[in-house]
Amino acid sequence: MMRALRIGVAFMLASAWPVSLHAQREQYAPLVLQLPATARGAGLGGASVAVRDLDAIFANPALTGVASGTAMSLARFSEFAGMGAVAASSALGAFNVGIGVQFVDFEIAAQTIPVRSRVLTGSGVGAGASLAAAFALNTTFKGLRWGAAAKYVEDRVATARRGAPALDLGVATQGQTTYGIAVQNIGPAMDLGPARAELPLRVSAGAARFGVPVGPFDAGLSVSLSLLRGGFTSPAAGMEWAYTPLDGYNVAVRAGVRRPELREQQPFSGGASFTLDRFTLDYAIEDLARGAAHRLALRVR
Amino acid sequence: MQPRIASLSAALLALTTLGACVAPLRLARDDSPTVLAQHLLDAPDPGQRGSFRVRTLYYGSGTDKRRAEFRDSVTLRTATVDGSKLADVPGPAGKDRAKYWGFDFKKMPVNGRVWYPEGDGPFPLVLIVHGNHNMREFSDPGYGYLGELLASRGFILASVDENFLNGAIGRENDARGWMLLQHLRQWRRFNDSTGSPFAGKIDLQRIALMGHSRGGEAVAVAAAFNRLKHYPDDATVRFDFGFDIRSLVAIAPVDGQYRPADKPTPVENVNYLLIHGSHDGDVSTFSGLPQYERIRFTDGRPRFKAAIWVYRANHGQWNTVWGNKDNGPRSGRFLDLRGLLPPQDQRRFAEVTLTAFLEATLRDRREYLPLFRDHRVAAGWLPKTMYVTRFQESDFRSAADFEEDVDVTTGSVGGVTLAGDSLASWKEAVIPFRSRNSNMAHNAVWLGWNNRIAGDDTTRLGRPAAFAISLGDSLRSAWRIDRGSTLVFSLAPTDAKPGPRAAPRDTSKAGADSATRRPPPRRPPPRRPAGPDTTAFDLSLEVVDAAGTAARVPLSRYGAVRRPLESYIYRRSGRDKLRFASLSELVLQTYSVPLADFAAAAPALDPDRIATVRFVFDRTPVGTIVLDNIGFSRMSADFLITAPGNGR
Repeated sequence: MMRALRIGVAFMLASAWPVSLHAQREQYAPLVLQLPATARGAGLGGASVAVRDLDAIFANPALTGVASGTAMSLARFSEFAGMGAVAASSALGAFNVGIGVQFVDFEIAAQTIPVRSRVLTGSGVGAGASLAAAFALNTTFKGLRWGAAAKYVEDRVATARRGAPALDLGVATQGQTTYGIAVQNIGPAMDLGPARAELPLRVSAGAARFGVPVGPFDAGLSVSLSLLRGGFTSPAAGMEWAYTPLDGYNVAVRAGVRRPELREQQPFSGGASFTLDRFTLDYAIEDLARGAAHRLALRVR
Repeated sequence: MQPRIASLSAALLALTTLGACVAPLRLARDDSPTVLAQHLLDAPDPGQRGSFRVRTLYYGSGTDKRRAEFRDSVTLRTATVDGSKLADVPGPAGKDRAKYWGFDFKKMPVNGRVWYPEGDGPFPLVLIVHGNHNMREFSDPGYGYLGELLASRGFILASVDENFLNGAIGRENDARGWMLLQHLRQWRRFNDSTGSPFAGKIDLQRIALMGHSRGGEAVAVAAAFNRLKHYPDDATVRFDFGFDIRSLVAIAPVDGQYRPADKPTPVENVNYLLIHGSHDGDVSTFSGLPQYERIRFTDGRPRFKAAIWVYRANHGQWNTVWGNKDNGPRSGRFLDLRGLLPPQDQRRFAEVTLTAFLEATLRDRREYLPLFRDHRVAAGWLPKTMYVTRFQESDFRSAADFEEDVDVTTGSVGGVTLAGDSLASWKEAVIPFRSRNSNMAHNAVWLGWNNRIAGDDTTRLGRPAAFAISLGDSLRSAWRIDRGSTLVFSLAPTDAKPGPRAAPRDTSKAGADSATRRPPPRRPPPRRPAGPDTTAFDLSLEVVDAAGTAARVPLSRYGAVRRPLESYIYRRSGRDKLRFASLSELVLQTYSVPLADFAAAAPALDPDRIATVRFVFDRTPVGTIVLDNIGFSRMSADFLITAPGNGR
């Protein structure tokens, strides 16, 4: 465990390496696909590709339905931008199925795509929104979980709306430590007049393990490495520290670090959760260039 | 200031919510100061060390990758055995397991740690085997406290290493039992080998097997396999054991995880002791009772079986490695550990009862026998908690065990008839376990009564209800029932309370049958939330001889008569009700009542000509009992030391 912790801390420090490739990172659309979808994921620095959870559909379709239930989350980036997400998953015979919807609402400065991340923290002259809806299916084959998610993604800037289909593919192991690989956002580019933006095609690989006894606590660690279409790499790592005073009750705190994909994002994030039987209330805070994003989520198993 | 108040309020609210969900400690009222008030056994305390100097050694493969003691410190080397036809973990998990241990089930090591007395012997041999646990936390050292004690008293104790059968594995209890026999085979070799420290020192006619949890089932499997020529599930595996296993001890055992040829494991002609805790957080029902019932005595030799339900004992404290967290190191989160017996008390109970059992059955120390018939006689040795005990010795003849047919008026043998008088309920049914959808696979009779007569006068009582067992003359002669016999049965009151009986019909009034004259039905009184019934429970036992002379004695003279003991295993309020069908295990207490006591109560009675035994419900006006295994025994006088309060 100590070895894993040391590796995790080293990984987190490496993730915080300053970067200057903002321009390259801000060329994809829609915006919603470049933001952590869940409060727990955000608290873990976005290192979610191997995290088994209700809202795994947003990070790796292979892990959809490993936990069954519904998750709802709201985020506030600034007074100008907010985000909502809903995901539900369940077992269906030999398969697990899941649906998920993410929605970002913001103000735009110009009617064009790609929408830059500064809309998360700055005001604009018109309304904009970004949407992704997904349906995922996975099953076990040869001891691994294999999954796919069909998505519809859309950016709306002022009166213009552009959508595109997309596909996510994923595979994950089923042991105590989960290893996962996902290829997200395979699909055509989106055009808006002369503007054209590719989907943020991303290949992510990661590992996660939770519930490792450390004294009276349970520790968890999640790490991932993402490679974007243009060659940008984004390592991320998150730690979770949980305490269960009584069967059914759980309190957890999280810290995450990443190499951000967007200009407005900063490396560090944190979070906490409180679980009471089937219900979990999550909170996450993400450092932004201007201010901070606050997320609140309810997970019902 | 305001944020601080808000934080404090939130913290207070969270703590209050959490506190409200933790159930308060709830224990049944402890009657041990009364029940265990007087020690009557005149024998040395079996929990005290004996006079032998204790030595220890290890035997084993000498190549064990994980166990330094079985690699570097073995005094006696043993060959590995191929158990691959009895145990299997398919797939990657099996490979991982073999990688961890450095061997697979084809090369199972015969490893043991031994405590033995210094001396010439021959000494009785006792093997003890652990049950399932984290395979990386080795379980066999956890019985050292028994090893030290038993060796000091002249027994050889070997704690058998079966950790390689632990962990995520199932359907392997046949392998666990078979391994015990492989160990006995090695012990026979140790005894026969000149140069062995045990050469000629082992009394192979006096062998006992003890097992804990899955090991508790394994000892029964071993006893069954010991007499077979083939493995029941694959006859190509030949058996050739035939050891003189005299006694078995099952500590909080499971049952039925292995079923030879898909049948319950049959065991006969061994002494059997079963102990189990009411607060067992792993095996949370008294799972060994079906095996207890299946033990048969068929060869006419004197043997006995006993079972003891220990209030507040758990699963793991019988083993010092396992400790008080019955479901792993995190189980303190959901198991309520507050009510458990202190570990030293729980182990003290094990020391006393297990040693007394082994002394009685392997070394013929008959002065310990009464402890198993009526534990109250050993009050000074036992930790102060409550015990429910079962007992049967090999001379017992069953008049009614409620297994034979669906006719409630017939007994287990011809010449026995059963009859109820003024009973509110009377049925035969299988005895349920506390856990949902499980039962003892053994029937008993439920008898309910309410001597109150329905009506405004709540003090008006009718004739006491009764349940009678009548014996034919020929049966009485065949069984030689006389003043030297003892009436034996097992009984437990329940919390069920039938409603008042109807008033006898007044036939003197004309038209009494007319429905039109019948008064309108009364509304039942409003229900009040009732706590546990703490009123004393008792009934009378009556025997009637062929001449009609009757004699009565109170049941409570022959053992504690308790309603079921509720045990709360979980910390979360309401979790026990959710998990179990009942908050208490229905464990019947065995009572042994010498017929001579009836003769003492009524000198005119002829105990040599008993015709009827009646359970007369005259001491508690309303109640229900479960009754089973009613019969007679001409048990040895060694069992019949005077019990406290019986006036003999």
